[in-house]
Amino acid sequence: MGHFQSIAALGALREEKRYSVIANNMSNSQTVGFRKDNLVFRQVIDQVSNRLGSEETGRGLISFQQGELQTTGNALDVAIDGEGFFKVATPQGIRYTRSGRFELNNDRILVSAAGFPVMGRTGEITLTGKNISIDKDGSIRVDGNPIDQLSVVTLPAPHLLKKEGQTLLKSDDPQEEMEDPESQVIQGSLESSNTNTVEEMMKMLDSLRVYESCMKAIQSNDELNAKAVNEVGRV
Amino acid sequence: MMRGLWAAATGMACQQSNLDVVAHNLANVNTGGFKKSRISFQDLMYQNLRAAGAETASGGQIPTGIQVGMGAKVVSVDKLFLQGDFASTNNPLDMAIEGKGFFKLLNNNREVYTRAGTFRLDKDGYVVDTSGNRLQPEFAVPPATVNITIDSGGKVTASGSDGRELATTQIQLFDFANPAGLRSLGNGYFIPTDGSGEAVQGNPGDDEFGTLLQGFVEMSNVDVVEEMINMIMAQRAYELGAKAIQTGDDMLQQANNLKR
Repeated sequence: MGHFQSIAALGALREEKRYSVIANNMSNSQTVGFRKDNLVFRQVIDQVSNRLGSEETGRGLISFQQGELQTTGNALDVAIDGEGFFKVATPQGIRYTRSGRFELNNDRILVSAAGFPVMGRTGEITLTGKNISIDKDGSIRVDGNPIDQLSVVTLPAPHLLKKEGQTLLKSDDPQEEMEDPESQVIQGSLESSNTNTVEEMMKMLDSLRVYESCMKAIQSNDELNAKAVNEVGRV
Repeated sequence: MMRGLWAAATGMACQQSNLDVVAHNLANVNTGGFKKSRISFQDLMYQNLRAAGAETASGGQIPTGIQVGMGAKVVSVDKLFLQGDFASTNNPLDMAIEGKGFFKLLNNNREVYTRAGTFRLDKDGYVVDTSGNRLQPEFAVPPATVNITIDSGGKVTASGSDGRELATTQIQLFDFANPAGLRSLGNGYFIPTDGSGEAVQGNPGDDEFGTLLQGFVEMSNVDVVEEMINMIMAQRAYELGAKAIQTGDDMLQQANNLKR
């Protein structure tokens, strides 16, 4: 395969990855607290061989754009308006999440939808009583008595977070957490996925067409080769 | 084959379950004491195509890697025990719980819990629900009873024609640490599971327990408008998945057409 064709094939493979990322965003358009991914490629010229390539600079970027807030009216549904994250304790360690779909487990400990304890300022939060109210700063009151405060933190480098599934984000290198006074916790609401369906459709169309162009490029090149092989040498 | 095809398919499967839940809720919009279900989704695991921090060919370091997600899954379908509206029935044995708590019934020698407070008397005078299961603890209304009053604290007084008190009892309510973890049996009955915790007994109005309203029943807490919106969202999200699959199919077709 010629040099030209291999570039076009690389482009097609790249678009296939982009398409997969878009499909995942679309599948999670109804997932509470989901953050969409963007796959960004930059074209570079390898200095040594003067070859074009794009694969080396591919980057996945998680978009932390605010999702829309949906009112549900459940006392244990909370949404963050701002840049902070909730902290949950999984058996593998602390994870961050934007999904505030919490409930009580059979020990009355506040847990995420997947059953991991949600962290307050003083650790796990146990709630016994009738009326649970959560203030904008995350303070939890049960029947008027202050219990704890939801830990809502910002990180210096959220773009280094890795997705783990279950709307959990993980930091490979420990980052210094900061309490976030700007973020507001809103009780009785959930933050929906920040997938924008129009945008994803556009990106998908774009990806499909670029893929098509790459295929055409391979085909044209193949036709040239065919001419060279079958016709140039003909007497 | 393409990862995205499977990711899109998982999204469609999720929306199918979503529609199942919406349909069940809508079907029970007039079922007394019915509690609506809610479905929740989560993203599936991610494939790390390139790890962040790895070295590039030119010696630099990649600040962020490439993670490709595998789609979505249903993480839970749980009951929302939000208060339903009250409807007046004027039946003295109808009770609505305003707040938390369940009635306990004995169904085929098994203890079940319900929010539906539509009660009648059976031939022996016992208080039973519409399926004939006795309210626990059992209470028989004396035959000479003319008037039954139930106060908000659950004290039942049966009195005769001359206004004399014939019998009294105290209705007990039961609650769970995590009602969303209860298992639905249908008929509005629930049984405890490891996830819900054991039943805690108490008088209406005490601690966390709600109070009783005589002559009212609690209606379904399904909100039709909300369910319609959920249905629209499910349909559109399903469509989105179908479009993604179509696109993946187009790509594969083009790849196949390379060789003529």
